[in-house]
Amino acid sequence: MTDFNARLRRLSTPKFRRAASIAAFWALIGILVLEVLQTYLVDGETQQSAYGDDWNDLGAFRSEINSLGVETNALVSSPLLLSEIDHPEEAIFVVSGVERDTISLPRFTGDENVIEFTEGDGYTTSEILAIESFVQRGGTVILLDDFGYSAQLASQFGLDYSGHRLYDGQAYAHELDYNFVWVNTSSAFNFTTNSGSLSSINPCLKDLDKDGVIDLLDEDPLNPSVTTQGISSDMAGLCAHRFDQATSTWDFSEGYDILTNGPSAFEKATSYNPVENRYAIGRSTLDSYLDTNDDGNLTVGFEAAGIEDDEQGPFAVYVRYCQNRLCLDSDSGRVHFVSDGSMLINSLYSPDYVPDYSGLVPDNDNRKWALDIIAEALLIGNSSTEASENAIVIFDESRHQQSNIGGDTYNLLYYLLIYFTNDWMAMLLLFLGLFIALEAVLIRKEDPDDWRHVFRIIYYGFGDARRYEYYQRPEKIRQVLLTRVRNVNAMSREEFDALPAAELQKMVDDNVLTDFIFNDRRYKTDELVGIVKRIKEWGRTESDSGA
Amino acid sequence: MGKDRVRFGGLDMWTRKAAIMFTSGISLILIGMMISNFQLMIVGLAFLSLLAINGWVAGHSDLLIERQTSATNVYKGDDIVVSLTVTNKSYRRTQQLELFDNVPHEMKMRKGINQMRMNLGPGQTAKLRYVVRCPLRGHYTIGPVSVRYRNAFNLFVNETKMDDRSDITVFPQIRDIEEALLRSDVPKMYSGATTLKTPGPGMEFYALREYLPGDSFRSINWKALARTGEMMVNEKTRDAVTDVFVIVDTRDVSRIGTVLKNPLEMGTVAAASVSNYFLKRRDSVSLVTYGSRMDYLPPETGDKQYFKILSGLASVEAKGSMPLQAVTNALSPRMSRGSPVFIISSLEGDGTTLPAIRNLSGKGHEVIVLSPSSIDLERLVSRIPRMSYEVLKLERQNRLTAIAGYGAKVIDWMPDVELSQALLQIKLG
Repeated sequence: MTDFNARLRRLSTPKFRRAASIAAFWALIGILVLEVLQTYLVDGETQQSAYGDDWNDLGAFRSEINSLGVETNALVSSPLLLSEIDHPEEAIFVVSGVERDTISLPRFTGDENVIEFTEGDGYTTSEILAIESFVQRGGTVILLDDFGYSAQLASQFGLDYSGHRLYDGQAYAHELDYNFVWVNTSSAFNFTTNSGSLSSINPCLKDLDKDGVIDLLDEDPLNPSVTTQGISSDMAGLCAHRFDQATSTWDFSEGYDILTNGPSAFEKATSYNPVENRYAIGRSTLDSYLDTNDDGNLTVGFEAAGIEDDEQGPFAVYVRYCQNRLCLDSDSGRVHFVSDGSMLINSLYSPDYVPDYSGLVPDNDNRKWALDIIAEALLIGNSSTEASENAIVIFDESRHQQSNIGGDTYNLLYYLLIYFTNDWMAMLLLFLGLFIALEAVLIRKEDPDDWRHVFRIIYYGFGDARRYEYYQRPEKIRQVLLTRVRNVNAMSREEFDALPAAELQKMVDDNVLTDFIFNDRRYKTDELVGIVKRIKEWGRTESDSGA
Repeated sequence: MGKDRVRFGGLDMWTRKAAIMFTSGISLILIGMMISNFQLMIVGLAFLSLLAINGWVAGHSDLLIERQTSATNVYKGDDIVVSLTVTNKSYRRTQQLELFDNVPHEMKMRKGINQMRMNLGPGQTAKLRYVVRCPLRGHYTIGPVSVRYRNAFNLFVNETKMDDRSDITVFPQIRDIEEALLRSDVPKMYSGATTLKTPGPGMEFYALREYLPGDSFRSINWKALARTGEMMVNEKTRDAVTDVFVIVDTRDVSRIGTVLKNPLEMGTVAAASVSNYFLKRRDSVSLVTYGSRMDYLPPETGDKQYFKILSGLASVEAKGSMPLQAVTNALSPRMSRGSPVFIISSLEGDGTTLPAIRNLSGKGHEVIVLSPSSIDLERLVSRIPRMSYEVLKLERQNRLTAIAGYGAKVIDWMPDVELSQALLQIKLG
């Protein structure tokens, strides 16, 4: 028991508590550092990077754009930077898979809620607004994602992801497997049921006089009898993918056979809404179904038994959003939503780019589709097949896992920098932080003290003030008097104690003092003062008074 | 004299100005980024650049600092002249250099100042001279020298200390008490040096003995060497009359009063003066101090003993509560019979005073009690009620009377009375 108490006492000592606190602090720091390091020590699955050459990267697509003379760039920090683009109408923002969430702060809403404390996954609201603003200013966005974190972004444009896997009983690439689903559309430019073909919005398909030469290269675009000769691939520029050099003919087909890999689909209810300028372009077949119960199989439901069936197609897989109605203006902002993140990966976009996939993947129109969008977005003004010097294609790398150590940290730091200088709440917090830091510096940081010599010897040694009261008590005064009597009469303590009262009375020979010695009663202060005075006078010799 | 060399390199401390400039620079850059204002960002960058350049172009010096003091042992109240010579041994200017010689707080600056700001060119020398007064007894140290370097814009500061120290001992003052002791009863018993028939330092011849290593050549008896062929030395008789014991109370209660006027300070002055008087007469003097422990300096005579006594008195502090009887009991076997004993104590808070003095008197020692009146010293710093004061004084008188009754000569030393005046009271005791 004693042992336990001693141990308990030792545990509660300040020294132990301090040591325990320090240990806990360092343990916490260690755990945090390990947590951070863990993300770098475990190999991240890097994919859909515009700068990667793996089968699931977008290197082929980016290289081809570069070869067409269009500048490409990667956004590693945050889409907030889209607001800095000077010519958004000639810019394309490509989002291929949103692999991860990122940190965010509450934000000012600008409405009656004032502040929104929670953020959805994926892009922050500020980033989504920045992307929306980019589109409103004429920018083009290609959003390729299936089960990633882009639902919030799609939702901003009124579109909802189903979040379930799309299968197709028939229209899949039989050479490969059921994961590769075909999405075929024969009239990709018939946005609505009654709009008719709007292929003329794409400069690579625009041929008003129907003379077989696109208007951009036609000497007289309105006169079918005037046919331009001697067109080469080089002259075709961004439309070269539509030009057959061998036959010198143009491909004016408006359909695409798009090959997807493990796609999802958009919600039926929101995928098509012409009023809101949302047009479902590419749909799956009637044989397709959405694995709504996520069991990986086609389930035929039986409502009475409580079995939920998988939803039957067709489902929108490719949706086009136009800022202006039907994207009629060439500088209208547009968003191309595809519910498959791998549509432009090297192995599907250009199988020959990755030798392992050469010959395995069936021919598809993924490349044609992508380059059509590039041409439609960048060839504005109907003057040339070449993109202007302002044209730029930006790949969003901010939500991709980086392959090199330190890349994620760099991205995070860059993100923070951009975030804290673009988001109003973050800016406010940053400003407050700076203000507090500056105040702290002003308060805490002190210049070295001026040196000066200080002469300081003031010191007082006090006695025990509590004893003063004791020396005012009658019994103490009486004791002092008796000692004085004994000393004056040169008596030992024993002799004095044995002295009869009468003898003592005779020795004192003072009525007042005698009364004081023998009468143990309460004395008033002035009485005691008088008695002390008498004691002082009592037994005084001449030499005493002289001293 | 102390001499040391100090080098500066690197910059240790940011000034407030630098810290403000740094935070302002960062703030301007960030605010500039927030509002997309490049001018602000450039100003912020300029701030940071200035800091960086200042940090990079840091000056450094190689200084030689030398301190000289006019004395290392002084009496309480004496002055010491300190001079500090600073030489720039490097090939660059020192820029803003600040020097501060750390002087103990107990010393008072009388003339000059113990710090200097300078900007020395290569090889240049500057001299700092100041005078300090030492009003308090004790052992003190002047130094180290603090050196502070500031760069041109006062953004960074580098401080270092040159660990050169000069030790100073301040002895208690010596009062002239010869006349007082001649006129009082005390010295009549010890009428000066008479020859003792024991060998020791003295003037008269005592005997011849063989030379031993360490003996002075002056003491060799050349005639005896010529006669016998062996090295013989003259041995002298000891001149001292007797051993005088000075017992000083350094208990905690002896601190009562002010820093300059308290039983301990008065006691050290009295002990030094009495020792000085008897040592001049070639008597042997022993010093005993007691407080938290007893320090005993065996009886000796001569200048060396004088110095030892003063050093011992310089270092005493008011501490502990050792009873007097424990001291006298411990000393008893070492005290020659009849030797006079000076007890310097306020006699407060020690119930063994009476039996201790009774024992000493009983053994034939002449006991002189010099008692600073602690009640009156306490009155200098506390408000003691009048009646308490009177009763305390009566009690003290009783105590002194009782001591006198055992044959001791008692001096009630009031704070405002000079030592020589107080000693005259012995006649009246």
